[in-house]
Amino acid sequence: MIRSNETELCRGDQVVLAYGKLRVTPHPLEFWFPAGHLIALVGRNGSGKTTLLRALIGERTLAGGEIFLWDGSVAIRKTKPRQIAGRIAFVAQEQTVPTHLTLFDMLSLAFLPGLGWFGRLNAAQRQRIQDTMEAFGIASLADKRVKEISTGERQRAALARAILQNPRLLILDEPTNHLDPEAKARFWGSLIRETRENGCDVIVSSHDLNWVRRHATWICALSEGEIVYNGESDTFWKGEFLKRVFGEIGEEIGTPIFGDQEKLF
Amino acid sequence: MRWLSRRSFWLVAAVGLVLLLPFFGSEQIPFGDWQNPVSAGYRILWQLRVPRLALTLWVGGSLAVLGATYQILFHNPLAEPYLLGISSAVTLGIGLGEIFFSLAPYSYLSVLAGLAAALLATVVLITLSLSSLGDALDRIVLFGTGLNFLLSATLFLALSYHEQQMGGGSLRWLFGQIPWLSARGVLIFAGISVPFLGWLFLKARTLDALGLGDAVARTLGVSVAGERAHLVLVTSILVSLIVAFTGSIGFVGLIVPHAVRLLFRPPNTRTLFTSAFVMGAVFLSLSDVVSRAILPPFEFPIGIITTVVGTPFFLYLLWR
Amino acid sequence: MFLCDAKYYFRLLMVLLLLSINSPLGASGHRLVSTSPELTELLFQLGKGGDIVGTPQFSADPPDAGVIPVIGPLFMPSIEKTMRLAPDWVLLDTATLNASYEAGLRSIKQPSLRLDFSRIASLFSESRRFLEAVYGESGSATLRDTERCWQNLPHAEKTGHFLIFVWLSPPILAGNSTFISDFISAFGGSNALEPSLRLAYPQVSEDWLALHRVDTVYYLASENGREQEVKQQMRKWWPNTSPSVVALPERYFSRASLTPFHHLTELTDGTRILPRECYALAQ
Repeated sequence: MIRSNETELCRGDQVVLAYGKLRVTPHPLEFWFPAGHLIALVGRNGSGKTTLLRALIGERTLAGGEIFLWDGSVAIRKTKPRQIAGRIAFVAQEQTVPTHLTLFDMLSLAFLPGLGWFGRLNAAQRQRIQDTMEAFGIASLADKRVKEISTGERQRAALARAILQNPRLLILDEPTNHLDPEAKARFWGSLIRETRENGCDVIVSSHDLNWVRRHATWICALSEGEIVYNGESDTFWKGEFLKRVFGEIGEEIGTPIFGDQEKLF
Repeated sequence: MRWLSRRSFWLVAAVGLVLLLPFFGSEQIPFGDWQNPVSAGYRILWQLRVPRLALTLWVGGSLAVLGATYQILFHNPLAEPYLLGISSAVTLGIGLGEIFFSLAPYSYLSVLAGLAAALLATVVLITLSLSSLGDALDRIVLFGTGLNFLLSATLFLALSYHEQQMGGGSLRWLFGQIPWLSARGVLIFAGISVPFLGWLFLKARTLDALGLGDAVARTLGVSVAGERAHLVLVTSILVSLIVAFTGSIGFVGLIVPHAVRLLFRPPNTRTLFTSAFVMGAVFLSLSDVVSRAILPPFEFPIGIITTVVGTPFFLYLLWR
Repeated sequence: MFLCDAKYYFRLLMVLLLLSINSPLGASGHRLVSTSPELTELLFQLGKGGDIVGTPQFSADPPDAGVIPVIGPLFMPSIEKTMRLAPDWVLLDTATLNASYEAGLRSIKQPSLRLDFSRIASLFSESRRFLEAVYGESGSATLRDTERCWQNLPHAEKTGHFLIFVWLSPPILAGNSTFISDFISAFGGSNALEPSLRLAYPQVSEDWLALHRVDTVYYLASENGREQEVKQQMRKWWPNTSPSVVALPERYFSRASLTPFHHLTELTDGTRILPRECYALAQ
């Protein structure tokens, strides 16, 4: 079910992350992620997770070094947004939306790179949007303004939009931070279901360690701008890494509490 | 579909209203005069009022679309088309031209002076947008605000030293004024600004994407800094063209997009633009006629009327 | 048959003649719209008052002007009202010029004339230009007489500074670019305001007044007289010197027209002999 034939999803070479003049990484990072995994980034707030994710999209946080994708076929710093448009999709922690935008129109933006001057959707695109909305259970909200629907529905809509882009790589930045347990379960459930069907790679950063433990197959753990662990997830949970990443509470939070709610969705 | 039929009704009503407007003004015209080429009423109607109406429709619509663009581009619901200070550059250029070079108002040279000043300001703004500062929207807005203050203060300083009288002369700097242009002048003006306005309409979807945030927009293929710079350039040119003729007419660009959102609930930016254009056009023309017909022969500066007419309407919309 | 035709043509000719006389496009071509009260007054003095079809508010002199249709407030004439009156010429006074109005007239190709009466010399030359352009006349008798009076006035040797108060508090003066200042200068002395100051009616501070030496103070006096007030202010501003004070009746001296010339005797305190031509004007 892995769509891509590469073995290496991503490789970071002397990566320096910074916000303007504020350096996030004290030392340049060297890392790689394999293809065919669900990769989770864990770490405290301020450890550099968001900065790394944004660097992957091509934002200015990549202050030095280079990141290569898909066996080195794409070098992030040298790539224009148009070129990555069909291949990477991003879901943010919270959605900023223009006041008037409806759900349907937000989803139709997924096709933006391919739309011509007049930006009209064809029938096939409309059908895809309809199908996706139904799969995510948000079809009834099609004409509602995105600002007016609940947070959980909004995050799911953002995920739907990302899926509609048909990406090879899906990047999510703490997507369930603001969601209640049911919304969380719905979101993760949709994510698992869709990425399994499409076979796209996922890099997600999250504080929801329950879910991470159950579903992530590769963990990259950051602490204060350094990579503490980058490897198979089983080994991560067994070792001392949780303590190094989260401090004293590391042992306690390693123990899963809730069951697998995502099964339901 | 429901949205479309409601809008069609209002569109027809708007067209009807607009067709009636030339018959009102500071002077009563006997109804038959509109066909009688010899009468004074004919001249007033066709040579004065109809070109003025066309100009006002065009300016009102453009201002509304510009306001909507800035509100989305800068994530700021209080944005007006004069946010970036370009309009102050134009009025300063024209003002200085009239004071120090005795350029005739509304002449080609005078307009060129305004546009030259706007060009300078736009270049600075574009450079700012493309640089690393371009990601910080607040910085650009703050810079524009500062530019606004600085340039209008300079203008008023020059005016207070040279201007002989207040009244019709100076008020137009403060509140804007729709000039009496000939039909040819209006056609030229509209013709030049059509491509820029059209460009904004074509970029409506990109604006939607930009509204979703920089990161998401980038993954949708939008070069954020580049598109923003483009949009700043096009909107600045359009604002310069308008302000060079009418001065800064406030309120239209600010309120009409919100009123459109509240009344017509457009689903995306493309429809927001079209509705805003129509509503802005009708609103400004109505304000213009009111400004002339309410207390003839005194003609209020249009900026006052747009505020006075618009505010209660807007408060009512919010309250609903 | 032939006779019938002739009668018919005769009648047709009569009708056409009658129409051409009454048609507004035909005969005179001298419908004037004035844009300032002083211009209206001047037009009456040049004998063309009957041709004025529109005038701004506050055109009170001469009394005949009161019945002329009003085209708007002083600095904001309405172009629609103006065109309603179907003028042949719109006369613009640079003192009350409205940019938008002028541009509007240009855009509908309405013939207009820009007249600048800020100097005595320009009063005469611009009046002649107006008469030439609109009537094809080379001048008028009144104009020539007034000019002769003015030219024959003995040159004043009086030096010194004067100030003309248009308003007392706050102190507003008539600047160097106004007609009244030019007029008074001919009687000797120079305006105490810097010549480089282009403002027509600058408002000055009391400190400035105290700092400047002034020999004569003129002020525009209204009907109810301000003499007490003026004397009070003089004592306040110039406690040590006492400049001579001359009252200029507002009715005669506040506008650039031929009227000030008719009241020259009020300017001189009876000590100067005026030329014969000027006495004739005062009649």
